[in-house]
Amino acid sequence: MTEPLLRATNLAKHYKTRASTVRALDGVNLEIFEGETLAVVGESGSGKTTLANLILGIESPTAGELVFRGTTLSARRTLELRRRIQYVQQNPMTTLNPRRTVFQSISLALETHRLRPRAEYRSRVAELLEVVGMSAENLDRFPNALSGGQRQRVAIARALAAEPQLLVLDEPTSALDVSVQAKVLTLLVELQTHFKLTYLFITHDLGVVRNVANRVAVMYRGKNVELGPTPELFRDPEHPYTRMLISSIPVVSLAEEQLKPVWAWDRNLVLSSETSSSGCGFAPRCPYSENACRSQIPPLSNVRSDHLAACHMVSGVVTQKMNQGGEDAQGKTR
Amino acid sequence: MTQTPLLKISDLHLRFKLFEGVSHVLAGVNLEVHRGERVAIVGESGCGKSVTLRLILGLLRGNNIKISGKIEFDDLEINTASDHELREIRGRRIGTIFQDPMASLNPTFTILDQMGAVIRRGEPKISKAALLERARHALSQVAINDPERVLEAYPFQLSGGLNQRVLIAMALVNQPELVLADEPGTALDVTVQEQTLRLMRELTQNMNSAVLLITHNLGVVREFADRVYVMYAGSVVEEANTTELFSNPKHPYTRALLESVPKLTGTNLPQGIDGFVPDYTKPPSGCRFHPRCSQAIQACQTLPPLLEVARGHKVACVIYEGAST
Repeated sequence: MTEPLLRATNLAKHYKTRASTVRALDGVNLEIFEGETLAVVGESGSGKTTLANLILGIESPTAGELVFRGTTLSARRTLELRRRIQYVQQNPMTTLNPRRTVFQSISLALETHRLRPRAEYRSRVAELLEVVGMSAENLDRFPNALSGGQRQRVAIARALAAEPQLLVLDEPTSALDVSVQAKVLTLLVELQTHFKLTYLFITHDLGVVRNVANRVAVMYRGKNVELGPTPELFRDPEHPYTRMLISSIPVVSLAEEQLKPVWAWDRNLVLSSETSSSGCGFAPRCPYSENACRSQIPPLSNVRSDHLAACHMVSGVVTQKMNQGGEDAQGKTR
Repeated sequence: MTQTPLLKISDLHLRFKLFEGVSHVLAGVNLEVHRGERVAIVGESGCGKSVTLRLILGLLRGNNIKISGKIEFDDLEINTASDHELREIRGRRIGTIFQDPMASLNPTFTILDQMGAVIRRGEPKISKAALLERARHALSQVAINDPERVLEAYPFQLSGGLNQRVLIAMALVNQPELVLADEPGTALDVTVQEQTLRLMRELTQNMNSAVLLITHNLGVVREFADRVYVMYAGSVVEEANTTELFSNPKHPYTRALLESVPKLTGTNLPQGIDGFVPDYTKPPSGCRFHPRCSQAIQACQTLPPLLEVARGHKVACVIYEGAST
C-alpha cells in the first residue's frame, strides 16, 4: 500500500477540569491518502473538531502522533508545513472578518506565506475568486454584502490561496440551504480534481458523506469505531452505532428508505447519555451489548482488509449477530 | 375534510417598512390545519416560514408592520384579537416549540419554575403538590428517566437533547389543540432528532393535537407530516399530502429542491438551484421563482393561480394551466 499523506497513531487529547478529565479524543488511528476524501462523522462531542484542531496545529495532542508526508507534526510547525494544511470552517458568517474586504481576507494568505510579489496580489485574488465561481466585482465587497453561499466560496478561495495539499473541511455546508449546499459541494469536487487536493471532510450529514467521500471514519465519544469505504460502509455497517446513525437519516424517497439498515428502536436506550469508561463507549445505548462490552474496550479490528470496526461482535468476543435482532424493527415510520 | 379547520389562514400579506422601501415578506399565504392533523411548511431560509408562525401567535405587532388577510384559530381572528384574548390561547390552546432549546429556556430559572409557569397558565389555582406531579408526569412522557433531577436543574446544566425534550414537554403539558414547532431537532444530532420526532408524533397523536411543523429538511417532512405546504419567497407554491408530494412533485421549485438533497442511493452529486432568493423590497413580477426557473416562459410574469391538479394537490405554476381537474 502507498504511503499515506497523513497518519494519526493513537492520537489523544484530554482536557483536565477541576472535577475530572474529559477525553475529547481517545486513541484515534487513521490514515488519509493523497487525492481522497475521508469523511469523519459522529454526533456532537464525538471529537470531530478536536481531531481537526490537532491536525491543524491549533492544539497539541496529549498523546500519540501525527505524521504528514514522513514528517512528525509538532505544535510548532514551519511555515511551509502550515501552508500545506488549510482549513475551511463551518459558519461563513463568523469566519470572515467583517471589517476586511474579500480582497483583504484572501490576500492575507498570500502575504503570510510570501507566495507572490505584492504587485500581483489583485490579479491573483481575482483569479482565485474565479476558480470558486465568483466574479472580480466582489473583490472590494465586505462579507455582509455577500450571501451565505458566496461567503463560503470566499472562505474556500482563502484556503486555496495558500496552495495546500490537505484541506480540512469542518462542516463546510451545514449552515447553507440545500440548493446552495449542492452548488458548493459540486465546486469542492471540481476543485479536488483540478488541484489534486486531499480532503478531510468533517460532517454530521450522512447524505453528503454518501455523495462526496471515498472512505468514512465514524467517531463515537472520542474513539474511531468504524472505518471503511463509503459504499460498503453504507451497505454493510458493522458497528451498531453506525447502523443506528444510518437508519436515523430522514430521507426523501422510498428507494432510499429501503437502503437504510434495520434497527430496533428503543427510545430509552437511544436517548441515554450514559457512557462506560471501562468498556465500549456505546454499550449503554447498544441493544446488543453483553457483559463483555461493559468490561473490555473493543479493539479496532479488521472486518475485511480495508474495513475496520471496534465492536466485540466483530472481534468475536460477543457471538450474537446484529442482523438477528431486528425482525420487529420494520415497524418504523411509513 | 368537511368540518371547519382548526386553523385557517387566508390571503395573508405581511409588509415591513424599511429604510430601503417596503419589504413584501408574505405575498398571499393560504393554509389550513385540521384537528389532529400533522402539517408541515417546508422551504429555505427567508421564505417566510418562521414569520408565518409568529403571526399565528400574534407576536408581530408594530408601527412599521402591515398585516392584511385573515388568521382564524377556531373562532378567534388573530390579527384583530386583543392582547388578553391572545394570552388566553398562547400556552393553553396553542403550544409552541421553538428552534433553539438553549435560547428558548431562561437560564436564570430552574426547569420546574419555567414548567410551573406554563402549568399555571392552564390551571391558575393548582396546588403545589399537584403541580409537581403534573411536571413530573410531563417529563416522564418525553422519556426523561429522572424527572426530579431535571426539574431542579437549570437549562445550562442539561444537554441540548434534554432541553429540547423539556421544551416539548412544556408545549404539550396543557394538552393544546395546536402545536407549533419551528425546526425542532435541527440543533440536535440525527439519532436524537429521530427520537424527538417519534416522541412528538406519539404524544400529539395520543391527545389528538394538531401539529404545524416548520422545517427546511425534506426528509423530516416525509417522515413526520400528513400534508405539506412548500413555500418560496413569501408564498405557497405547492400543497399536497405527503405521499403525493414526494412521489409526484409538480412545481419546478419543489422538484429542484428535492433534487438538491444529497441522496443515500447514489454517488451523483445534486445540482442545486442557480441564482438567489429575490430582494423582497423589489420582488420579481408574477411568480417569484421565475428568474431562477428552468421552465420559465413569458406567462410567468403574471401571478400564477393556485391550480388543483389532483385531489388536494395544488400548484401555483402556469405550466399546469388547462391541466387541472
